Amino acid sequence: MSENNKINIRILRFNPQKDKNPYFKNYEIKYDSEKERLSVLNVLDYIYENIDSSIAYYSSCRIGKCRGCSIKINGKIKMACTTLVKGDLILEPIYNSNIIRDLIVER
Amino acid sequence: MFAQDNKYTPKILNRGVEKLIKKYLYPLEKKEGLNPIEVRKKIRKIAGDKVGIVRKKKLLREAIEEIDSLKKEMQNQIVSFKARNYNKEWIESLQNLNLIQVLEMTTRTSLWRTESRGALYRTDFPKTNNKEWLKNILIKNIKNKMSLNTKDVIITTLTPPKIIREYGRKR
Repeated sequence: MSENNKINIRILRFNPQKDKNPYFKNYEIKYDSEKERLSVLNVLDYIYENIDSSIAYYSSCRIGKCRGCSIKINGKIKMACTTLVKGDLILEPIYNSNIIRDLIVER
Repeated sequence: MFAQDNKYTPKILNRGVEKLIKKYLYPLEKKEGLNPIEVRKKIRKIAGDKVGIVRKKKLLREAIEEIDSLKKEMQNQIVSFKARNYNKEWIESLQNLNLIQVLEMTTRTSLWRTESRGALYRTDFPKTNNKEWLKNILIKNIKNKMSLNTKDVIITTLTPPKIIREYGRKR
């Protein structure tokens, strides 16, 4: 249930050197999906720069060419840079195995 | 680890390696310093405001001063999160060191080149000057300072006319 101007983002966090099991962490940011147009990558950048700088994700070209930012968004594999945010998000790494940290996997 | 224990591995005698390790591990080991995210924002601001698409002598001069002061400041960047497996802050802090170098090179060379050509457009020198500037600019590191030099372009099949012409338009 998202409020009018806020969205909830759940990111799967896992640091194989420390944690036994992966876990979800919640973040809340102000976002009005009718007025603003942010991509998932913009949201990740916002969280990294302002809320929690320990999240790990990769991005390069930002225009949907390099596929470096491919992650699971609400259960489907998509590119973070070209996917618009329309509501609450659940972000997971693209594969379940070989996680280096958080959203980064060995390819 | 295998490579270190192996007796066939030559011993690294160069002191430079230890210096580099110290430099790259600095953000992880120290406790007080600048946040790399803030440094990145500052670099972006200089590059966007003063070394943009349309360039001017005055703004470029200002940019060089700001870069010089930022370069001294940013030697003590630290990361808030000390993990070594894909630590985005650490990566960013190391990239910042290279970014500021590239930004300084762009700024100095576009200040040196008194014409407009290709991707470089300067409002104070809006024409393409083939008489003086059929040259490449070379940058050399002399005692940790950038020294600029020019080198003539090697002309092979097509010889450009040696005139001063309008920027961006075919003659």
